[in-house]
Amino acid sequence: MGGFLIPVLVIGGLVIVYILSYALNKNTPIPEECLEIVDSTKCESCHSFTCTYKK
Amino acid sequence: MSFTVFATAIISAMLINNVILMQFLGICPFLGVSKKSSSAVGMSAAVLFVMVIASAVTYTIYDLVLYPFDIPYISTIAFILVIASLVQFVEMVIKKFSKPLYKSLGIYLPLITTNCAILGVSEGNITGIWTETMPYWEGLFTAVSVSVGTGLGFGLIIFAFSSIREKLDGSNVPASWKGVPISLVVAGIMSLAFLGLAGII
Repeated sequence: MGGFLIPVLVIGGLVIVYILSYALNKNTPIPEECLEIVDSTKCESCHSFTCTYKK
Repeated sequence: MSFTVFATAIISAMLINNVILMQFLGICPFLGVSKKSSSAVGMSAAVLFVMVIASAVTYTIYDLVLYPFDIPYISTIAFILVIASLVQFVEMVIKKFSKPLYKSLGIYLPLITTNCAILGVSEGNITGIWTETMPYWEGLFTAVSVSVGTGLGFGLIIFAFSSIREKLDGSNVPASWKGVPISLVVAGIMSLAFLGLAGII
């Protein structure tokens, strides 16, 4: 049981850390000076679902 | 911990075991973000930045958590999650505290989450550097040195490749070779050239 529980806890903890970091990053506003860079970003080749610029 | 270790690790990771041309990692940004030199420089800087932090964090997690709890077999999935979280944190911190840095690196940071070179270096640090008896700080120093060298090697190659691609755009290349085919031929020749550096150290 212990041999199964520890890896599950470690991976579960890391998943929670990831979800928190993603939510925090998504809620952090982009600086006004940088908005035009983000608008000109063309997402043609990268299909990363973690991308915060994806509309 | 000495300058010799640092210099050897950097030269070896940068030129002899180059992450792109010798290990064939990070090929996606190598081909995708090398059309313009300016993008290549931005991407290289972002990769170097994240690679160094990710190496230090993953080495620490392996040495202090995964190995003591006898669960090194989950290292790959743990490292993927650590790198993905780290990229989100780094992006958030840069967004909040350093606008000029965000302006230059910001749009490249999400791409790094899916860059296998970062994961490759983190895994390589464990298989190639980490040993049971090695003191933590010594291993960490070597791992960070290797990641600095790898990041610089990534930057060197992607910048050189982007410069060649910019030159090729203005050259008289046969229609069937234009674009990706000639770029792949150039990448192959660069890889062969770097093979000549094998065995220097």
